Amino acid sequence: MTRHTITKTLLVGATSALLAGGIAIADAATSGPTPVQPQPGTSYAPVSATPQEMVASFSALQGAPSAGDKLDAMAQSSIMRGPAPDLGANPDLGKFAGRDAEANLVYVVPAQGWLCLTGSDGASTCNTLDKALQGYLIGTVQRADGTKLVRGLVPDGSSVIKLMGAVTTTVQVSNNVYSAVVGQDVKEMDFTDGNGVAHKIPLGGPPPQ
Amino acid sequence: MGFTELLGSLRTSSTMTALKSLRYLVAVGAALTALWVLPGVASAFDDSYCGALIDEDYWCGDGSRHTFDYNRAEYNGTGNVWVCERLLYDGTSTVRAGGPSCGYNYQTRSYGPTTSLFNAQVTHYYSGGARHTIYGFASTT
Repeated sequence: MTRHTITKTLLVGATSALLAGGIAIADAATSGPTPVQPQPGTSYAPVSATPQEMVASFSALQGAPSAGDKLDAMAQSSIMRGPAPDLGANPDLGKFAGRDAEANLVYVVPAQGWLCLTGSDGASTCNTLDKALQGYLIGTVQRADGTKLVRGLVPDGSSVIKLMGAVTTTVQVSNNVYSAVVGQDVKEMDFTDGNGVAHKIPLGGPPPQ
Repeated sequence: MGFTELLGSLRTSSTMTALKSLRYLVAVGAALTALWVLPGVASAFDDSYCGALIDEDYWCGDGSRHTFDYNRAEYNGTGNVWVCERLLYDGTSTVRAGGPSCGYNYQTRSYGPTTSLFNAQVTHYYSGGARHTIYGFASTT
C-alpha cells in the first residue's frame, strides 16, 4: 500500500478541512498558512484557493487562472503524482510564468503552505512559503553536456538574480521566475529582496558520479 | 445404457469439467501472480524506499527493477537540504536522460513512458557533512 492509496487519518482530514476552508492559522515563523508536513501514507486535500499571503509576495500568482495557465501534460503529471497528495498542491490554481532557459513551460503552483515550481520537462521543486520567500525554491536538472539547467522563484521586488561561479551570470527575473543554463562551477545564487535584504543561496547539483 | 450407467457417465463428465475448470483457474491465477511479481511486467507499481539516515553524497536506492517513469526525493526535517533524485538503467551506472534533478527539500520528476528497467535513487548533497533522513518514492504508470 502506498501513500497515494492510504486513507487519510481523522487528524489529517481535520487539518486539511481547516486549511481548505481558507482559515488562516498563524505560524511562528511567518504570518502565512501553516505548511502541511509530508508523511508517508498521508494524503492532503488540494488547497481550495491560493492563500493571500502567497499572492502578496509572488505576483505571478495574481488573478484567476485562465486557459493559458493550464498545466501541460508533463507538468500536470509531476504535480499529481507527488505534490498534490503530499503537499495539497492544486494544479488548477497554477499560473503560467513563462519559459525557462530550455524553453520549457514553467508554472507556479500553490499547495497547503507550500509553493511548487514545475516545468513541462516534468521536474518540480517545492518548498514552504517562508523558505520560498528566502529564495530556497530553486532546482536544477542535469544536462547531457555536463551543464545544468537552473530554475527558481524569488519574491516580488527582485528584478535580477546572480549565479556565482568562475564568472558571475546576471539573470533577469520575470513573473518571479528566473532560469539559466550554467556550468557545474556555479555554486551560489544571490539576490536582494524587496526589503533590501541580500540572500545567498548555496546552489548544488548532483554529486559527482 | 441403463440409468445407473448414465448417472455414472454424467458424474464422470461433471468431474472432468470441474477439474478442467480448476486447472484453468490455477493457470490464470499463476499467470496473474507472475505478472504481479515479475519486475518490469506489472502495470502500475509504487515503491516508497530509503527513508533512512544517510550520509551526503550517498545514493540510497530502491534496489528494484521496474519501468519507473516517476521518482521523488524528500527531506521532511527542519531547515533546507539539497536533495536529488535519479533513475539508473538496471545493472549500469547510466543515468536516465533528464536527471539527476535536484532542489531544496522536495524534488519530483515525471519522466516519459519507457519499457526499460530502472533502479530509483535519492541522495542529499552540500549538507556540510551532516546526515539526513531522505525519503524516496518511485512509480510506474
